[in-house]
Amino acid sequence: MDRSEDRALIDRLLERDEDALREVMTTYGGLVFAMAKRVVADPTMAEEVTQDAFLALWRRPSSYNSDRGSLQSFLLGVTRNKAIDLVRHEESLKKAKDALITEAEATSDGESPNELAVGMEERDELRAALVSISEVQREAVVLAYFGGRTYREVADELGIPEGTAKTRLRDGLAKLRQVLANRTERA
Amino acid sequence: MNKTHDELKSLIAPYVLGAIPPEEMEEVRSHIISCEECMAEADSYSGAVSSLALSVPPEAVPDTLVENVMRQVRDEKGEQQASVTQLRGPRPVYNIVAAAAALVIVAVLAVALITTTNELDDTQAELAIERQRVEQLAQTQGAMRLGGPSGDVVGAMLPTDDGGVFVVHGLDDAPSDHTYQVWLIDDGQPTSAGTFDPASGLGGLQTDHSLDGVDEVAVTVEPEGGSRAPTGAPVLRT
Repeated sequence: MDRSEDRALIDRLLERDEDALREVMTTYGGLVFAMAKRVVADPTMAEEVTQDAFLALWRRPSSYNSDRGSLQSFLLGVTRNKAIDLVRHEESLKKAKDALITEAEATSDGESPNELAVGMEERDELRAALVSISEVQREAVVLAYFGGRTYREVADELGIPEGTAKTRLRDGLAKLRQVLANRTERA
Repeated sequence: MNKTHDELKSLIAPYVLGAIPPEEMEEVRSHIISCEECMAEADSYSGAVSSLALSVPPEAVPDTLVENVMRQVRDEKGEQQASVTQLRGPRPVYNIVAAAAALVIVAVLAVALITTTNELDDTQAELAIERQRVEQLAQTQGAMRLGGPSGDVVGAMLPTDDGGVFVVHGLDDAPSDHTYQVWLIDDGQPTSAGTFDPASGLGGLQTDHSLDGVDEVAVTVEPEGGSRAPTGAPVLRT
């Protein structure tokens, strides 16, 4: 789905078109639910987060700005934030922890339940990019992004100085940026 | 507080990953949006952060999800209709948060924006940068973005430790003897967050009213001094 299609969907949501909301859920539901589950590590809580994310879009379609990225990225960002809020609220960080680190190394499997904007091949490349950064960098990045830890908590949890945690996060992102840039050049 | 530029620069990666502790967020965010070097570095990581989100393989959606959401949508529609009916009745007495003398307190971020703009020649290119900064603010975590029908106006309401900060770009001056008023809407009930008058299209205010539970933010044109409740249609809303 390209940006013009995203904008068309948002225009329909602004007109309170319920079919547009169904379309958004059909297209992105699998990804949004997976992101929520990745963070909260509990299917029931993940469903709650997924519902909240779509309801938030329905209540404020104008919060999405197509100049800033795809609707898919926007929804995943909203979902990630809501999931982390819930995890913090529920104080179930420990429960979610085990699912975090190893997940970054797992390869995707199974069939896609929906027709998605990011195909399997591209997703595998993104996951390969994540695996390509050093283990200590990946550990820090995954804890921060999917685990909702602050850089201070990352340092505390990994038993490293805060400066080292900040460096690992920066170097991890910089490496990811480089891998993605190389991929774009090859394409 | 009062971190050096290098200290703040070292927090860009944690910032884009959403890993800044709440008590440091204001300082870090204010710096990044006002420092071109740091903003450019933050922007350069956007693709990498998106790739993290997109690397998660999709899962089958629970059967109940879509219908649960649609039921909630229908319930809220019913509540909104009831709320509109209530607003058309006798005007309720709303809690006026800010006293008239202190209605317009421009927050640090808005001051930075307005000061910058006043030092510029208001060329289209420079104003476009200011608009982009407000857009950046609107996209930050926890922010609510406001837009107008024309698409030329953009606003952002950002939560702070003790309330919220509102900034807007692209608004014309209010008509004579009128002002703009910001409303926080919780369950259909509007509460004033204060009034403001834009300068060079930029405006802002700070409110000590918590944004917890606020579903919508809207801006209306009101008689000078503000109103107890909105008297016209929003010119800007979430």
